[in-house]
Amino acid sequence: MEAETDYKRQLNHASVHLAKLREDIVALDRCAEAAGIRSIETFDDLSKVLFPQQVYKSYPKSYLKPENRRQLTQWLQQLCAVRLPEDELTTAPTIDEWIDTLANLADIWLVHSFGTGGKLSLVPRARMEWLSGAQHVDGEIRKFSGGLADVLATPRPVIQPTFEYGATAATRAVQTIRELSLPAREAIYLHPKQRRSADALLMSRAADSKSPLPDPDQMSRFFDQAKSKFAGEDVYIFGVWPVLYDVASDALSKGIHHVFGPGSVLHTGGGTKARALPSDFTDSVKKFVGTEQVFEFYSMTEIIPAFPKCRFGNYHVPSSVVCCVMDVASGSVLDTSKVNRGQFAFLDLLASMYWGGITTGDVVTLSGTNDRCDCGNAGRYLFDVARLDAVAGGDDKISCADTAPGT
Amino acid sequence: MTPAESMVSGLSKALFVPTLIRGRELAPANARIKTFPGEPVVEAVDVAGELGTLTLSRPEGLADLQALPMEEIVAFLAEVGDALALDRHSRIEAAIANHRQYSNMSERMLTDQFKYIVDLFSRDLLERWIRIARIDDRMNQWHELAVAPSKKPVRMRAVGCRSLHVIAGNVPSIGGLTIIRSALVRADAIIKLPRNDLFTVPAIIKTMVDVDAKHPIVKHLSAAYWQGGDPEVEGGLYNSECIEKLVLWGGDDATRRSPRIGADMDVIVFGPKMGVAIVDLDATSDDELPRLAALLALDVCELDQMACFSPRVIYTIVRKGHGSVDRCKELSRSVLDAMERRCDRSPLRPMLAQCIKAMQIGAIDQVVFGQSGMSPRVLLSLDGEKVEFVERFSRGVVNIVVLQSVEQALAKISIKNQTVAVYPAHLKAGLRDEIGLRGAQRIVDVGAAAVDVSLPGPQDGFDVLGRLCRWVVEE
Repeated sequence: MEAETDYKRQLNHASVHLAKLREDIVALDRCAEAAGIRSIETFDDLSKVLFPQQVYKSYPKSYLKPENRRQLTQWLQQLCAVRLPEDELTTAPTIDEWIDTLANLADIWLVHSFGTGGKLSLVPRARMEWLSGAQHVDGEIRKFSGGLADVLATPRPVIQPTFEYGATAATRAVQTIRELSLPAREAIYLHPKQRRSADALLMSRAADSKSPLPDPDQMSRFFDQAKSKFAGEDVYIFGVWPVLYDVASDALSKGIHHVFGPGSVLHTGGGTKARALPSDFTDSVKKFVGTEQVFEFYSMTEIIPAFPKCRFGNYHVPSSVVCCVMDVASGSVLDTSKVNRGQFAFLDLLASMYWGGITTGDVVTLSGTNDRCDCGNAGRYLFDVARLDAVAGGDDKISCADTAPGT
Repeated sequence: MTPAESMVSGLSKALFVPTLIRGRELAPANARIKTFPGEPVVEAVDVAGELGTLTLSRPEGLADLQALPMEEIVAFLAEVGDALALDRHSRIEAAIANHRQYSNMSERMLTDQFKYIVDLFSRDLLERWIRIARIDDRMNQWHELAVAPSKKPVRMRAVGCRSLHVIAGNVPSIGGLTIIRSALVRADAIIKLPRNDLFTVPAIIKTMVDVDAKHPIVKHLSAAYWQGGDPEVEGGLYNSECIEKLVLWGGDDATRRSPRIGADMDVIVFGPKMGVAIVDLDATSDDELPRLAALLALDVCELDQMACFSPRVIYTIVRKGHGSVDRCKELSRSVLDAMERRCDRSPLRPMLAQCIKAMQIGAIDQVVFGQSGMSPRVLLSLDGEKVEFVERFSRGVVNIVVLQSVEQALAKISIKNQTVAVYPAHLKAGLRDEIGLRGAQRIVDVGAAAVDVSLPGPQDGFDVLGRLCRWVVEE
């Protein structure tokens, strides 16, 4: 009963959020109008105003050419709640400069994906939304560590095994955490003073379908450098599992372990990036770093908060997120009162510069109304995350027509 | 299945996939095939322990089939065709019923496909096929080829091989076609069933067994399912000592899980391919539009758009000028109307529905025609680029891409395009060399992509029957 009231309250918030944002976001208004939705009473109503994840890359590739900057700007405008400086954006010679102009003139810290298939997802996120995202992550880390860890209040040197600058989610997140941390902390990067260039990603990744992982030797050298600088100190590391595991396994084979302080915080997400890692890979990473404070999150470019993973392997849904799963075959919303497996869809009520109502490309199992995770944390949780394309039955189905898996 | 998967699928009764080895059906055993939410549970025999009987250890084991006159091959296949038509033991009926449980193909197309399979086995068609492809001349006797520099004659003949066919399951007739082609070239054939068509080939083979279980063609024909890439099975099978010709349908689809394919086998690859059309709208009068739309709809809707020749993109040439966008919209509406008369209206698969919805919400230069969430749909691209999810199209979804010249359309053609349909038809002769040069393998009139598939001719750019044989030369 309590949970039911909770759902009603969430849907009510969703309804108010929709009414407010559709006044400013043209594409949302178009979507709600086409669906005939004025208010959100049920999860079914909600599902009709969710954007497919592909909306944030729904521009034609030709819009990425320098001569089409105005079209790209107009495309982004309809997905964005504030007026964009169209003339200034139109003259940006590169996508990187277009992104910088958005930040400098509109306070939008746009986030982009890795450019699979030659296109980037472009999500117009406000700077304030990044700040609230970092505060949320800090809160979750405090909660899930029982108050033993945080990422904002305790000064720890930052070790980031990627670029210092750029507009990918990882780079933006660490930039924000550093900005919010007082006193300012020292940081080392795999590529210091360098940018994860959107233009370079587009050029290099046109035919690629996997996110790029750095060279393991280069990464080992980077961690050697981190070790010589911060050995024994509590540090903050933001990285993905395959990278961290490769470094850890190389170091452990040389007898190197417990390199940093026991109060170090390791912040990760994105799963294993389709790499088959040994079952004890997290233990190897913990042993190498020398900390038990490892925090893994489920997240994506279109969402501001993140879903922390508890010790039972479940990802807990943040309170600002209204979510459901949909039947993979029919697309209809599955009963929210019961545990169900299906395509994951959510509305992030924290997002107000863009519409954070998304039908994702992931299939998850989502807990029901009265389920409680054994970890003791309240609220819904999800587990067994898989890509929809893999689940939709591509495996061993063969077609002589050029079709997507599961088609 | 995890409890959650089982709960979502809601299906508990397992389907059993027959394993047929050289006329013998193996007793059912419970090797479960990995299935997915919403699909029925399927079981098959684990063939890892049957590799000795599945393969022919020596090539001369084919002597009985090599000695079989072509008339006898045709007579047997025709008799099988009659038995398939009668379906006394309801084998075809059961295959269709099973297929229906996991197929994306409409009821009408499924029934038509099985009728087409029966037609493939007709004496008349087989005899014409043999005559046109000169199968008997080339394959049943030593054939004088040329004179060597020494002035001595050179002769050659084709010999049937031990072959393994990893077939595609998007169109059921592929199984029938594979059985016939193998028989015509007197090959030993093992057919690996795809998970999207587990029942068509077993139904045909069981019917062949009904006709004559001891016939040499039956003795050299097997069908089984194993998980693609299974090291226990493929470790023993993918070996030039027992397989000379490895036929892979769908390219990557067939090889993704099979790292064992070495260079010592002759690997023959079909597809994956996609059809397109080139329409010169400026050369088409307003009165012609309904006819053009009807012909395009015929090509798109045939086989529920699941075939490798099915057009997904219509490159439409309109030189810029007053009203050109309106004409493209008019064509789009006409094609939608024509498809609605021809295709059954059906819900779009979720990922495709999602991509189209994203386009409607976010795209500026694209217009979507048709009912939300349903096929048929026409996606009109005014920016000269095809949409990025054409590989997800099925059951009547087509992308009309507006271009300004024939040259622009030709620049879009690639080796991926098996079939290019052209309108008006008189443009075909002028374009065929250019289209062929750019990689396409078949050029047809719009409206003929499906109706005149030339079985004796090449497919995907090569002479299939020739490739299935070993050519022996006497010098």
